[in-house]
Amino acid sequence: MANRTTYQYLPPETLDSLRNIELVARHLVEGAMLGLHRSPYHGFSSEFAEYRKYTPGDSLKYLDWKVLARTDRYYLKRFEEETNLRSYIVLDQSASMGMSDSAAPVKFNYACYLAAAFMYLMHQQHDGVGLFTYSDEIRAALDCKSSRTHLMDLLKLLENLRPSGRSDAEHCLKLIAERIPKRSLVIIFSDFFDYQPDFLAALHHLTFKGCEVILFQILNELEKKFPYKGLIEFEDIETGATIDLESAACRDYFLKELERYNAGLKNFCDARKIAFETLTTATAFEKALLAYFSKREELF
Amino acid sequence: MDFGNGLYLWGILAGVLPVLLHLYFKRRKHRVQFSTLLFFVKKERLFAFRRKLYELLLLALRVLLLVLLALALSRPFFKRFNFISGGSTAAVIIIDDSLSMQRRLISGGTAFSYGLKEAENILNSLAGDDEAAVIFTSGAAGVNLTRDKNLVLKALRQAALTAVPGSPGAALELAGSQLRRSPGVNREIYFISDFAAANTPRRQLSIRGLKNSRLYCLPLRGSNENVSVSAGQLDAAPKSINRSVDIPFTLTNHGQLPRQITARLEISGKTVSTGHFSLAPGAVLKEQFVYVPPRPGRVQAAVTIDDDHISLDNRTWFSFAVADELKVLLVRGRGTRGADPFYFFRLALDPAPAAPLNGIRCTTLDRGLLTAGELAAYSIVCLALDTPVDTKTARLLVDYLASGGTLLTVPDAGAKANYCAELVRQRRLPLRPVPGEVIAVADHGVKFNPPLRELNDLLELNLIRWRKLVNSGSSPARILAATAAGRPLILEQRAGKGKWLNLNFALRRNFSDWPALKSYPVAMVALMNYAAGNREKSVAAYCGAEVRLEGEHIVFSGTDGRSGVLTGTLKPYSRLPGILTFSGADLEAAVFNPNPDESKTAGVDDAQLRRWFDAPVTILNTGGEITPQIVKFRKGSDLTGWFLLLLVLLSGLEFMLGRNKKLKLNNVE
Repeated sequence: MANRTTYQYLPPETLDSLRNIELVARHLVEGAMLGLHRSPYHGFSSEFAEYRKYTPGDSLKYLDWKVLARTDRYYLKRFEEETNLRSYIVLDQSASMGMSDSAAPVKFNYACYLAAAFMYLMHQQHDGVGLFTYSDEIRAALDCKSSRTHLMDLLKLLENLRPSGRSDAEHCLKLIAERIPKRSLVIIFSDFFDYQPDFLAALHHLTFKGCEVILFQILNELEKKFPYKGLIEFEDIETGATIDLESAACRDYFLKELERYNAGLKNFCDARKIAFETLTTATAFEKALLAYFSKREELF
Repeated sequence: MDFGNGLYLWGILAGVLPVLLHLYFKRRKHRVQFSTLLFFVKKERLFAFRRKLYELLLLALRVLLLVLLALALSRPFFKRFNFISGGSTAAVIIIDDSLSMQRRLISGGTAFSYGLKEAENILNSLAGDDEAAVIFTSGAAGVNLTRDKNLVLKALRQAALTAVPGSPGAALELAGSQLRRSPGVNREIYFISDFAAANTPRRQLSIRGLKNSRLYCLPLRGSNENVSVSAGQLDAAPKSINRSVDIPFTLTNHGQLPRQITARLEISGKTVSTGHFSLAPGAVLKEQFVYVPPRPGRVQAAVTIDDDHISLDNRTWFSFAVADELKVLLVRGRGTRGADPFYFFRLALDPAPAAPLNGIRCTTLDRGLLTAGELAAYSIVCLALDTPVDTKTARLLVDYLASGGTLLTVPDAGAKANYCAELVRQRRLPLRPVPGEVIAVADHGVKFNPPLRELNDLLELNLIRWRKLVNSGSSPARILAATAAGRPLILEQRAGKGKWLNLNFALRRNFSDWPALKSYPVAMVALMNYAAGNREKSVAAYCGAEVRLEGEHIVFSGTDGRSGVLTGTLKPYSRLPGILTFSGADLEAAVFNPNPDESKTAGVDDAQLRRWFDAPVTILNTGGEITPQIVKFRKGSDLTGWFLLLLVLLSGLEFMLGRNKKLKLNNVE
């Protein structure tokens, strides 16, 4: 970090709390560089995997001469290759993510904090990190790299992002899924309030490509508890549509519907081995991350 | 609806306060940006409807609470009719004073006495400036609308039952005409009656035209038990001494219980005959007493029964004159020779000259001895002529007819055609020529026409064989009897006050074999009784009916002991059953009995009673005091309590709704 020492979404106190967090992918991922993650491709790195019979045309470089000397048979040594992880942060930049809550950061900012933390963690592990933001279309797209400069670019970009526009997750996630390489780690930050329920199909594309997908649903306290009272004219931030509601009378209904909606999402994710986590902006994002990673580690 | 404290009605305007508050707070609706309305899209209508319904319900409740409070404070009254508080009232009390009001009520008194008492209560319920009137359905003198209540009270206390049929329609019409002239803004008609079914009007009684009027009916329903006696029709034959008189009467049991009734025939107050009769419920029994008058004169008779219920119909009156005998003058023609033309005729009418068995005394006279004075002494003059009547005799006979006498002309053996032509020629009476030539016939039988038709059933008239008859041609005179072939036998003409009967057959056997037959004397006596006419100078009528009397100085006396000189009509003296006898009048007596329909006690129920009138009526309950009922109807029902109760209930509802709302808000907080 040559020019700047601090970034909005990665303050020094965050760096301290992230020091000991190491993201370990649950699945084998395909990486261009050696790293902590196991690669399904058998190459010629330092870690021995198995022997294979020599066939004409194979390079004699990996012939095990000792076995040949002892047994007079031709065997090639195979090594298991360690590779680095390609991870992509997908950030919902639609207007609904800009919903403010006086006691907590805006949902989008909270998502940015989390995204920054993930980027930093990936960088520390020498994994590549990419970024996509979308609302009704893909707003920003940075390719996956593990360089320090790239990390700084990502953090700068996050600072310049502002939530706006309607969300078209179905369309955008499909495009992103096409652009993301196989077996990548995809972390999506959104509230997942989308009028088009088919956006789940786009998630299916990602899993079909062998990507590990992690969904972080970001909600704020207003959405989580719906603490309104009296007659309120609610305005949809994205569409501008309004509706007059006796808030107290429909509170239970909203919370029940939200719970049902989230349960549906969770069921969908569980069926496709997609991690789904709901976070509220009232929770310190470091705590949220720690809690999430500790839970993931239990799974390995 | 009226209000005791109308000033509080301004409080209803407070009902706009919740509306204003609602509108004010409606503008303070918060606007909040929310991430998504995704979950509300499906239920938007429901939430909006529920919210609006809730708001409107709460708003309506609050408006209603304030309005109800204002209404309750203003003391609302509900009225079935318009009654202008503070306006003067004109009340007409119609009292049924007819016979059936004598029925007993459960309380013990008669319906009439109870009605009078309630009429006094109605009178007492009126204020000082109010007007009152009393009308009796019988037409008895009442009191026109007046503020002098004492006058009305006096009329009520002097009121008495009558046997005059009541006319609800006439009484109501009179009440209407009085109320229309009244300055009172509130008009009330009180109809106190037993509302007997027999008095049900043929057409609905109209009260619709009376503006701002109310009709209250007080039906006095008591016992329906009653047995009445009513007079039958006395036969028209002249009554004479020692000849029996049938006095017919009808007993009717109007009640639901079988009755044993003793009936008595009273002559001049003394019982002369008694009968015992069993009457099943609803039975009608026609009976008669037989009375033989021992002396001439006017007989006042009454058939009386013992019945504890309505007493005015327990006696029915009769009056008839009893004469010594019916005097018949038999006039023979100058040229009569040989046999007496009246031989069989006299034998039939007056067979024993010492004692007139048929009540008929016959005297024979030659035509030449006929004088006006002689004629005046006889009820019937029978003329048997073989020569035409001369001018002098014709003049005497025409005078006799004009004064009310009855002339019977018969042909004698040698009768000439038109022997009565001189009578017609006199032209002082509208007489038509009847007799013609004597012709030979071969016919039989006699067929009597009314009013002698009964003879056809009694006598064997087909035994008669006719040989000769006077041919009366196409005479327009009334035919009383004819042969089987239709040849006229007896013709009748009115002649002044009298009548002229012309027989086309001789009274002896030279025209037929009838004088030798047994039917002859019976038929001749009946003919004479008819020819003598109804000499009864009395009239029978229902109580209250119009009876005309002619005379200049008429003195009357009644069976009830009243007497005096008659002025005006008979009506005031005919309200109760009884006999009025007169002197100086064309009639000797008038018999007044109740109309039998008045004795029918069956009443109408409330639904039937309402159909009597063409507008709504209020039926007062006789079970309790009627004054509070009237006051209630005038003032209406006080609804304050109901309004307060509603207010409390709605307050509770409003509290629950409001509390529910607060609870929900607390949950959120």
